[in-house]
Amino acid sequence: MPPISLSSFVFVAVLLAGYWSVSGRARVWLLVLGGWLLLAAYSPIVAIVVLGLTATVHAGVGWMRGDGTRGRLVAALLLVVIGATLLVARGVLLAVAAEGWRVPPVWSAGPLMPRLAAIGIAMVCFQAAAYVIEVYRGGHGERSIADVALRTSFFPILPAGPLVGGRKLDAESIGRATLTGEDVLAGLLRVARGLLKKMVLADTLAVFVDSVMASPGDFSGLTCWFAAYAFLLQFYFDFSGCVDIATGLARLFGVELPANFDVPLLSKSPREFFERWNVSLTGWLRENVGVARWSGAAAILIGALWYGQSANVLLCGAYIGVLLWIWPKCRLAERTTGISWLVTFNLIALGGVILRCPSLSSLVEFAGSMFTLADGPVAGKRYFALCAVCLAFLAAARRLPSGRIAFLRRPVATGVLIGLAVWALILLSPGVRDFLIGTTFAGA
Amino acid sequence: MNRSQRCNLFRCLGGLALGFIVTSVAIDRIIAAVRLPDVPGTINGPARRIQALADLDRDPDVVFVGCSYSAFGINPAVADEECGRRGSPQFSFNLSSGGTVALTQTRVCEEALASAHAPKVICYELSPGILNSRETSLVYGVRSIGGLREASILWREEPDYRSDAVLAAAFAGSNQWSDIRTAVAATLQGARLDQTKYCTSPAGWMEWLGGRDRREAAIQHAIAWRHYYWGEYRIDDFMLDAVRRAMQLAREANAQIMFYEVPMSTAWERIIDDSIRARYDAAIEQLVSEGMPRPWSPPAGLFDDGDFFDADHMMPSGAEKFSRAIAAPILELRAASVGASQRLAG
Repeated sequence: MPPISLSSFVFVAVLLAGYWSVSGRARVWLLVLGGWLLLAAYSPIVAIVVLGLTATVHAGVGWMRGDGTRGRLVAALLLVVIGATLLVARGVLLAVAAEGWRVPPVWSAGPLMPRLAAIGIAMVCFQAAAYVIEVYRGGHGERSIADVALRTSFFPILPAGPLVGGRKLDAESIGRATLTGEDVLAGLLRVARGLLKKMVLADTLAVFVDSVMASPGDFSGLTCWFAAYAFLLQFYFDFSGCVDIATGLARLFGVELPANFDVPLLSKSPREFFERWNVSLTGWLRENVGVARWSGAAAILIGALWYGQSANVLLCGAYIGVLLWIWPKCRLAERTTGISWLVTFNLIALGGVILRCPSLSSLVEFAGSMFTLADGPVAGKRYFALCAVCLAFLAAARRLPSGRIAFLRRPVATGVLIGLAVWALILLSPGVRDFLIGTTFAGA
Repeated sequence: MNRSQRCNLFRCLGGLALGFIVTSVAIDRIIAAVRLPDVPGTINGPARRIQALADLDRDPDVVFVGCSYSAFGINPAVADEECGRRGSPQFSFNLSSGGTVALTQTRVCEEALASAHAPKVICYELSPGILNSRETSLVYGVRSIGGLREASILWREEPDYRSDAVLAAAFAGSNQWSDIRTAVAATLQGARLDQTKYCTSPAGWMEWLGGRDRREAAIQHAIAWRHYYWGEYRIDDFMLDAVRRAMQLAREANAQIMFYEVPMSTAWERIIDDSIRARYDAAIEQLVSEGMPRPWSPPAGLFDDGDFFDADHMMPSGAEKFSRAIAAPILELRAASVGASQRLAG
């Protein structure tokens, strides 16, 4: 079942109807079952792995209770099992994806299913590991298998997160939850926002980025700079769009997910950027693993490592390390806000280029074109304008007091906004024809 | 959930639906106005064919007036060659264009007969689709139906079956279909922006399509569904009046008029169910009883399904056969016309 398709919408609608017509444990298991079914639709292997992992973690967590040594041993064993599962599943998925020893990146144009399955299994393992560590650190009381299953199989978060820890996702509160009109409005609006980010903004920018990255030598240096900015925005809108969809869906199920982004593109230092990017993972790492200063960079590197572009990831890691080390020494943060933002944005965009270029040789070619401001046709002015508009919108939205936009939360206004979003999807999204009609129009 | 929570939930859902519907309708209308502006005068395809007639450097002896079946199915050069081979050279011109019905075709006849290149013989196509009032309302109710549907209608008037093929393929792929989706797709294709790609040579289109897109049964059904099951099949009096008016116009201009039916593939014959066929036959019988010449049909067995690039539009091979076949009744009509004038002169 394609993740964004009529069939998946129908599936979610049916699941929602069933979910709100029952209560207590039945509701929790229905949700878990829905997650397993979706995973099985993506890849039966992933569903089997998740079932096995859930049972193992539940059993293991039961043995952890007792004296400290046994607890430590079992926790370590469980983490090893989860890590091994991640590696094995990754290998299997690579075999399925048949794209060499590399998980297809989120932004790649390859088959969507292996990508989603890849991200899904990674999220399941992160969730399981987080659960084990939380239990080991005494963050939980008595927990049932339903709790473990919920943590590992809550389907809205599997494609892209956010990481949900603590008591935000427990069987007891889900069983008692009630659906309010505000939940429906906020949930649908968030889903629409996510779809816009993903299918209109990210997918539109991807068209430009892909063409420039494929042959940077054919474009001018200025175009390569445009492409670098466009990729940063594409990556952000892609990731945060998926998280918005997850957050909106979760809200429809009565679950409030933590924020995962705090407008990182407006950061005024690299460290700030990493702390505002993938906030859930960063926060969890800070609280549970104790890597306070480097948590943001660690979160990025965990994601990058999963995708396994070895040379680029190593280089990107080194680049981030240098950035974080050198920035405080430059005292740029003390300068004007605009300059620090501009420098930070450009530095992060360069990091994005390192991550995005398919090989080191293409990275060299791309960077050469950027820094020598090579001659050639200047393309992508419209995309650059789109990037500028997006950034301006992000800045304006951040400054707007929430009281000013309270009227947008009224039912009719929400309906209008969702209507606008749907039409924007229909008319502006490059993938809309796939979504609506299931094919591409050669004559369009 | 208590009563107040339930009320709040329904209030929110109601408001949400209201806002969504109002926005969607408003945007639909805006798109209709912005992307599909009104074209003054008659509808697009026939207007261009009339202009092409006006641009000729000599008077045609014969014109063909029909819908896309004739646009693709008649090659005037072949018909002329056949007539010449039989000892009666002629120059014919094809005024057919996609999406026409009896009302449109009669209007085309009127324009052609009033033009500087008025023909001596009009060959007027008849088929179940051409008498279908439901198709008429779609074609002529352009501004009143709504932007989305309007898009698809205007688009249907273009004999651009490349798009048709892709839409149909989409149907076959997704197994789902609706007017809205068709229309949105048509809108997205910039229905009216494709005019420069319009090809006045049906043979050119057929070659293009034939090489690229041999369609399968499911796709053929999709096309049939869109043409014939869009709404209820209906033949209203104004459609029959249009045919009567065509005959009257020909009489007034001292021109001959001949009615003909185009061949159809077996898949298409299956699509047109018995009730549609019965109503069409009854309408033809009524017109014949009023003095209309019985429509000529090509001999049975002359065509096979390989002569069609979809369910109902002919490939060049089919067009060649049909154009040669239709030469015979045209020659008879012209001979009768010459005989009558000689008798009158004598």
